[in-house]
Amino acid sequence: MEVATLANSVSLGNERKVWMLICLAIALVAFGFYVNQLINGLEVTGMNNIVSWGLYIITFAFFVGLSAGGLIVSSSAYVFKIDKLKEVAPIGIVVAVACILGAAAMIVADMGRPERILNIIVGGKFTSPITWDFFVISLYLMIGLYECWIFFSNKWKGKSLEKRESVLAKAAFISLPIAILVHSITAWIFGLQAGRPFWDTAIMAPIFISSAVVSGTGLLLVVAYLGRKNGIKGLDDENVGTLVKVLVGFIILDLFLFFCELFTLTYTGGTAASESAALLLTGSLAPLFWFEIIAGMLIPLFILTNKSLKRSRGWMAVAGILVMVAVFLKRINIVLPGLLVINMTDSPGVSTGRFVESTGPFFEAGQTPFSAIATYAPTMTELIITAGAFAFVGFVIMLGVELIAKMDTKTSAKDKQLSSNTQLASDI
Amino acid sequence: MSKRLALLIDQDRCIGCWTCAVVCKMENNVGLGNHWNRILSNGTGEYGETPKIGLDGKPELVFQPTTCMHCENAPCVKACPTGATYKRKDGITAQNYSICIGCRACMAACPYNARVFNWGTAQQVPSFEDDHVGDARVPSRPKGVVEKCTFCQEKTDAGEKPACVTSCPAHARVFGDINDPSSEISGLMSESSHHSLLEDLGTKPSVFYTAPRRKLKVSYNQDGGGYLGE
Repeated sequence: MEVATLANSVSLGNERKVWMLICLAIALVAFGFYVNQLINGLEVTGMNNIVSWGLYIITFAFFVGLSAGGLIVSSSAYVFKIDKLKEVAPIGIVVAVACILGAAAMIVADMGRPERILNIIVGGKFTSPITWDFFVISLYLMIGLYECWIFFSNKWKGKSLEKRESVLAKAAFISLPIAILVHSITAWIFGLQAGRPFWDTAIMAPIFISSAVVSGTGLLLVVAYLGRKNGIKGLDDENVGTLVKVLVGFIILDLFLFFCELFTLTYTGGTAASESAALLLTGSLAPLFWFEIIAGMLIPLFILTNKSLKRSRGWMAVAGILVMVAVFLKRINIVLPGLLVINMTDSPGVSTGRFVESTGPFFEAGQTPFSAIATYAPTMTELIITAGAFAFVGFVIMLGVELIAKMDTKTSAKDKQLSSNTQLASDI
Repeated sequence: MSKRLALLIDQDRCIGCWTCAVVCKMENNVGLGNHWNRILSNGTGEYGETPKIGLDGKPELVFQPTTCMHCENAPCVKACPTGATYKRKDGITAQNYSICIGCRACMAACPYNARVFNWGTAQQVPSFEDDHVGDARVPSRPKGVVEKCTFCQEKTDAGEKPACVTSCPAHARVFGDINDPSSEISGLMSESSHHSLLEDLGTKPSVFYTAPRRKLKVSYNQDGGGYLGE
């Protein structure tokens, strides 16, 4: 029996195995680049003293948001007793754990002295949002892993379904508030910075939570499509319908919140924060911003509310990918404008920390380390390390899907046993 | 009352010679590409050296030496997760390089862009084996940590003045304890109007500026020379 199930899942997951190997290979290449970054320092990145946070922190914020959807969906199943969502709970928790691991990887990649990370615990200061984030993300990861353990461990297979459900419900009661807290705190890393007027807004946490749910639900739609394609149970049409409703609501909320923020800044005008808003609306970040709004939010909204497209899982997955891209762009559009506009723009500006070897006379233009105009473009190293983190997250999710596939075959065997005994398992 | 070390910069006396910036860089052994101290001006050009035309039709340059403001309500100290950035009892915002994790939260928090990061291993020109050109008491910094102006804490601890103050050829900088009413800086601050930068952010900086006297009117004296509209 056991061997037969295993052989079955192997033949089903051959394509998945190839993808897992590809992801692992990308992650390993990225790790090589990370070792190079460790040796040479962060000068291999495109960041400088003005734009001191770049692609790494943007991706970190994106991953934190992505993991929300998963955990909020799987916890809601138990907290609000939505039976429909219970079948999605395992995949939700896998997505949450994978993405939070990706987020942790990004924050380590961004640190100048990663070997000292435990200084946050030993002698850490509780005034810093980074400290709060460190603790709450650790807690979040532990709860995620605990729920995974309940879902996948053989120990819990033996327990009755009622017992498992009650433990899951207890875990969910803790994890739902933690999920919301994680996103608020990640938002406060930016939102509590009085020195960056564009970030310093009370609406930052609501924006982060709404876009977190948008991207997380989008990811679940993609996973649902791929799962269906590979013949894995879990997300039926009704579940997808629930997710779509959640997604439509949160896309509208997200658009509204971002509109409120930018409208306030543009209407007031004349401040450093409204300069940042102008960067988004008409300046150098305008292509990213308008792509986010039109292709990433409005088009998915059309797809998700269109009756004829609504039945197609493929279109739902397209919408899911588009909103994920939109939320990634939104992270760029929040992090970069805050740093790109400096408060004191008098010449010669800020020393960028990047010395350019002079090739001509000493005062040749462009050779000064000073700059009053902030620029940032990620280097190849940054792009590869970030791609590696995405590949790693993909690998963990596929690993989880593998586990869920095994769990399904096992629970269905158990279902038969139980239904013959107690008729309890009919709705699992 | 406890000590609060502060710096008063007379913008009317500052000639924009960059001596303080260069001496700071040398004494504190700051790596290439980074500056703890810089001179902003209202001019244009690579170093802000090309003057604007003032209201009287003559070239006019106003200099604003800018460094760490050693804010009383320092955003960087709040943002630092490890306590590597901390307020000393004498008001200096100090940096502990051995516990800094290089997360750069303080750099994002600083409204003045006063903080610089060691993106790679710091290079010095000229470079010596022990990596010290200037003050030997200043610790060297490894790659991956944030650094900034310390009010030359190694010197001020020993009762000396910061390098930028002693080196200023125009005597534009006055350093001292503003909580001590008998100090030179307290006296000067009580008799002249002064301001600090980005005051509306509530950071309460410890670096103060005496604004330059502006030439407000077109000169009636066609030969020029001398201040008007003082």
